[in-house]
Amino acid sequence: MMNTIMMNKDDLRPISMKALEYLRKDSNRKHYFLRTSSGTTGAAPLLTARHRRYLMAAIYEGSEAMVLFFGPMSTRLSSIGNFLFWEKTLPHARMMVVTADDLTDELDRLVGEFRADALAGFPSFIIRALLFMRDPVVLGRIKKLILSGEALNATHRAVISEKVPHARVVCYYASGETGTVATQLCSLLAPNAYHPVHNVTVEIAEPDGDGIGDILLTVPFSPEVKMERYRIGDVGRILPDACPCGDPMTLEVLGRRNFDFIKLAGGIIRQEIFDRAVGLFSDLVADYRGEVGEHVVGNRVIGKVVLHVVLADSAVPAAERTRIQALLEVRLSEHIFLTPTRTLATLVRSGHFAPLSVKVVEAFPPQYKHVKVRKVDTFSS
Amino acid sequence: MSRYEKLTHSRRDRLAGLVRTVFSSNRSRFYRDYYCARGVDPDTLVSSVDFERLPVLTREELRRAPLNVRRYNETGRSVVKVIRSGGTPFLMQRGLSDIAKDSYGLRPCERPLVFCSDSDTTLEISLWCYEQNILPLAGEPNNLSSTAHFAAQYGIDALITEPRLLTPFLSQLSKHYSLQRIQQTVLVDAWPGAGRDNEWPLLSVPPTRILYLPETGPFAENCLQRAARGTLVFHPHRFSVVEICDGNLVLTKLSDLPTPLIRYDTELTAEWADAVCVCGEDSLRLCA
Repeated sequence: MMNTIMMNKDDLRPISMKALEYLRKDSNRKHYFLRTSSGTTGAAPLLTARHRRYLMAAIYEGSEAMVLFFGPMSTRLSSIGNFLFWEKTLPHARMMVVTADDLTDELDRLVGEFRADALAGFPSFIIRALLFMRDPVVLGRIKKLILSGEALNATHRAVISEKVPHARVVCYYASGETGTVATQLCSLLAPNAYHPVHNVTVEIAEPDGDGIGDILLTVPFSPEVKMERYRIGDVGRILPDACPCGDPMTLEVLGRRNFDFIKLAGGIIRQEIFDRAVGLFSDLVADYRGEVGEHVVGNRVIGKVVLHVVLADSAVPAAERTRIQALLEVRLSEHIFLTPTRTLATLVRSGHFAPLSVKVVEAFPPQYKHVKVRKVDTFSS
Repeated sequence: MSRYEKLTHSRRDRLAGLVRTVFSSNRSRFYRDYYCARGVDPDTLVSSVDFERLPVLTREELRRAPLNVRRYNETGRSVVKVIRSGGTPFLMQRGLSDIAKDSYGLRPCERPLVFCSDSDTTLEISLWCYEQNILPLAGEPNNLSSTAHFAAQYGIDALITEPRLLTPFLSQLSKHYSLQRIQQTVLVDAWPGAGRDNEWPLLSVPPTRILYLPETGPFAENCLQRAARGTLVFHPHRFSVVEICDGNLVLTKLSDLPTPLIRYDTELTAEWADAVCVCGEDSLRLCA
């Protein structure tokens, strides 16, 4: 019978540092690292200590000059250690870290001088970087993209296809508190499907008729300490058949459950921000649904927000609807904070986002029944 | 007697050896071309290195020459730093074995927090910690409250940061952690005017000060004996040779760098302290 005990983020706190107890058996600090998780899901930030399992080794193998595109310092440092401390890394391997400040016309030169053969990091960050890179010699040297942290969307795939069509794209499934849990080394997998790595157990909690439910992970922090049946916050299913590559286990990740944030254009969008902004116009708007997405304009990834609204007064004439729509497009922009200090209006003026689009509707499409804000590749008409 | 003449024979021999190595290298012509363009006779240089007459290397020259032109050797696994300060960015490469030889004046500790405004500096110092078999926590300079939260959770016993970040960070940290548990603090910086600040009211023990530039790494450390008397002077590190030319601090790193630094003008204004330090070392101070 399935063990019903499941861990959430708060349950990790008592064991988050316990991996360091293994120092009495393995005192080499290079075998350990510290990772911070940001708390974007609403839980308090968490620091975990982990014993390296070098799970990225198979992904890094063969790379000699890797550029990292991660934001958090702990992620950068752990990635550097995973690459440079691993015994089988090439003897003259080198790493360079790119920050948001480096996304300028100088990036081509810097990556070229470094002679990068692999880029690793968040897809949106790497995509933004690729848009600054034009030198075919520099782009031609890049043999591998190693991606994690968000699902690839159509925009990402289009940029990759244009800029580095010859590069092998390897995605892996990981989080700050779990580390790497599954990879896409197998070339036969769908974009959101992964094979769990060694020593990780994947289960699905309370699957529905399609086998879909919360993803639970049992992952070691060290040879002696593990998180057990940890609810990572994603929804997925285990595919019934073995992969043609022979791996018996394939995890399909379908998205977040009950979390109200979306990563977009390099930033994070929270549903509560839309709730608050639309709530200021409750005299006009009864309910809303939002679509957010991104597209490429020139060498930039631009965010876009579309709000579908049902008016509080369904009897208003067409001319008044048009006036309200225009009013909401201007006023809501001024109240939707996409960063702690910048509104959508500010980001439109700076060119990071397209102007807000508001559409007055009679009712919402069925797919919006339970999801108020969703990230889309294609906006509905 | 010049500072060069005051060097021990072994250090002068190492300097001469370094210059001959880069001058005769088949892998890179960077220094050879630089010196020849400025009138240095290559035959004279090979037979007798007149170190003090070698042209001083400017930051602009580093910036202008691509990394592969300045790379003289491979030294195992390495990190390449993007030097972002002061204009167009350029690259410097440092091997892990070279980083291991740096000095930060840190006494043995278990749980240091490292965070600086330049991310590559944080990562380099963190890698130095690993090379000393210490497990570092890398903090976020733009999020002091989170960094303080994680520092408290980790139970830090040492802190390596910059002067401008120290006080605001300790103010955050003191909300949920006893500052008495931080046994030592190391401050790295070398901006003009650095070293003038010498009052740290939130610290029970004065910090160690390290002179550091992103393109050079650490190269000098303050004299703790003089600091106890309120005087801030610095001693060059073992692998660093410091000269002061026309008021500017000129640095040569003796360690085996992939991208060697020979008579590099740091653009820091400095002067030698008048008297020999009580600890017997040459000492210098930064000027306004």
